[in-house]
Amino acid sequence: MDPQPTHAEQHSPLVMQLHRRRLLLATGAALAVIGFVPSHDLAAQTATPSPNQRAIDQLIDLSRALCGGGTFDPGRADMLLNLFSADNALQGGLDTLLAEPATPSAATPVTERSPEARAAAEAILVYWYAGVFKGAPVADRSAVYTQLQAWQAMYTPAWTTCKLYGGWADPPSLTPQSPENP
Amino acid sequence: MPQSTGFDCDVAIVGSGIAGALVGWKLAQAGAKVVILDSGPTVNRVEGLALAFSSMASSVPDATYKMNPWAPKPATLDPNNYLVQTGPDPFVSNYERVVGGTTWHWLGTALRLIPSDFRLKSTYGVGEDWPLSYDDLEPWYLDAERTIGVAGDDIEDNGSPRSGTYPMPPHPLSYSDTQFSEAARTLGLKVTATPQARVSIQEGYNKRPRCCGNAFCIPMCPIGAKYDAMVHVGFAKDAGAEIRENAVVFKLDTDANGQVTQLHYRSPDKTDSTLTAKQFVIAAHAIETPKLLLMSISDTLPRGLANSSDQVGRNLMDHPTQLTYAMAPNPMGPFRAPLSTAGIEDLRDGEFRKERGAFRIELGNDGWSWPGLDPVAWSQKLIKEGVEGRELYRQIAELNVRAVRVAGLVEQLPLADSRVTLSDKLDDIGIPRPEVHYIIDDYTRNGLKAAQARFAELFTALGATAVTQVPQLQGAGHIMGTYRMGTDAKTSVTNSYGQTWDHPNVWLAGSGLFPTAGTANPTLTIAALALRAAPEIARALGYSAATPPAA
Repeated sequence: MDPQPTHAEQHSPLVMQLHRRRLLLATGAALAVIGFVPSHDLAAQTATPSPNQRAIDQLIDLSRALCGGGTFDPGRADMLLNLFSADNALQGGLDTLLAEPATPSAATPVTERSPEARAAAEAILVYWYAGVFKGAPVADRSAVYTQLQAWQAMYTPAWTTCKLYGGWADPPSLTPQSPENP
Repeated sequence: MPQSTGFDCDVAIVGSGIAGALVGWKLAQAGAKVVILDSGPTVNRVEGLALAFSSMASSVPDATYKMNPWAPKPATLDPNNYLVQTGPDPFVSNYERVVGGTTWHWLGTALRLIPSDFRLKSTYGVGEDWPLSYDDLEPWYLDAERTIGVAGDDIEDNGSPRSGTYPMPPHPLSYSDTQFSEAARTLGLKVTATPQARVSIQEGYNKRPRCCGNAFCIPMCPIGAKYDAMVHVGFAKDAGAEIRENAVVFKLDTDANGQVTQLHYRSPDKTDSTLTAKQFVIAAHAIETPKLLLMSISDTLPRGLANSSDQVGRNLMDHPTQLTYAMAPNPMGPFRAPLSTAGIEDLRDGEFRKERGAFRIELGNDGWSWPGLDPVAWSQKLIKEGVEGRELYRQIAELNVRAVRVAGLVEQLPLADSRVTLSDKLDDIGIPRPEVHYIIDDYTRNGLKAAQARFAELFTALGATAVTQVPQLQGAGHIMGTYRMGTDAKTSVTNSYGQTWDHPNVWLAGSGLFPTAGTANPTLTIAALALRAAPEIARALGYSAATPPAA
């Protein structure tokens, strides 16, 4: 099947609009990354990371262990920290989880966690996988929807993302979408 | 050329869905002064997608459309937000009230009815006959396919004989379709490519790009590869038609001779206006159209407009749908194709129709989204069950890639007591909400049971597990029958062109005209009937007939 965008596709105002939207989202994400200095390499070069930066890094490490894979935007991690800070019970559960070893094998099994820690773990998972916190969509959900963890885990990109015309006739790829994926 | 002197326009069209848009386009092309009114606003595609993504149910049919207080509509997840239901069965289909109408969220399936659908009473002794035959409509089906751009297989007619070719080749079957095809063959059934109004050619069609498999046809094709009526709203505007959005028509007036003289419409700020015209076309779908007719009561028309037969609002039909889903033994690859590319059409006709409803089978490419378990919802379910870490990641990928569903769209007979009337409850701008008394009879229930039995066989043949027959009936969104056409003014509302028996300058368009439901998704038939009516309306205006159907 022909993977090239058609003339009409290339020149459709709607397609261009959507492409621009994706570009803006990608740009926004990139700026967020730069702004929050997310990578561990860069973090290691920082002599004295701010308390907030340390908290973001810790939350991302915890999120990665809980979620099982994927990529994590530091700006969104910061937003999640703010959401936790507004709920004492959930914040307590988060503190408990952060105090545990980061490696999954050494962490407390799900069933042995305290109710607060279980609720906090579930909140973290639902936030990254579904863009939801305490049963409601998070403020930036429309911007991050196609990059939610639930879609990152799939073998095919999120719906609304253009794929190959007719590629649907072939057996599905079973290759993870990202090298970050397990 | 006829003059519009004394009138605001030649023809006022209420509703800008596929029927209103096509008629408006044809009449504007013929030279008529056309005004198309719609109760809702113009939709912005990017804003619609953002709206869907910010909601918990991102892929339900109305996820991309606002609920405008001046033009409320049944919500997918709660149709009773607008419909006032009095039972006995729940009516769960919905529609959009925006410029372009419900084609914004339709699937794009462009099947024709089959010949016996037009002769149900004569052939099987149930339902009604249509006032025209399949052969009468066939040239207009062809015209409709070329007008809206249908991709289909010229070799496989799906039981509807053809006099010409499709304008575009069929879309490839999905990998999932081919797996179903193998299973169906063992049962003596055949999987065929579904004709669909979705661009399949690289150069595009009607300024629409080719489909790119973004798997979001419902609620909204992100790139406009699927036909929606905005195409012909645009063409109508190019030909000189005026579009008045956010104009909620709530009454039509008649003169002493029974001619309709003007309509009244209300704006979101509750101010009222009028529009006079020589001819009126009501194309506001099968619930809003009868509502408007019933609201147009007067001393001389106590039952409402065009309702001397007392058939307005009656015979409400849908295609009650059996939804069944399962886990395929091998990866099938959903979420990378149009939501459905194939179906099984072998079960749409037979002697059994004397006893029970026929059905067609739609094969989905959308995993378990319809039952409410799209990947995002599924992840929440697994998280709630305590799954996390790499196991969560693995399960989301491996379960979704094998998730399959089928839907059986079952025929429903016209029943006089299955109807739409006016509620005494009002909407936000003081207009009555529709009251729906919906009935599904044993004819249809037995069709649903037959569909369940077929699905059990099909999934066994596929080697599927976790087969789930959804017990709640699903709505297909195929609302039909509420201002039916016929040959007798005593038992029908219009003639075969949609011209009302009672008021010769009032024409009705849309699936409310259907005397029976058949099993084909109704949009192509709506388009064919609208294209067939347009030249008659042009003639009534004194213009030469609009373009004849393609040979």
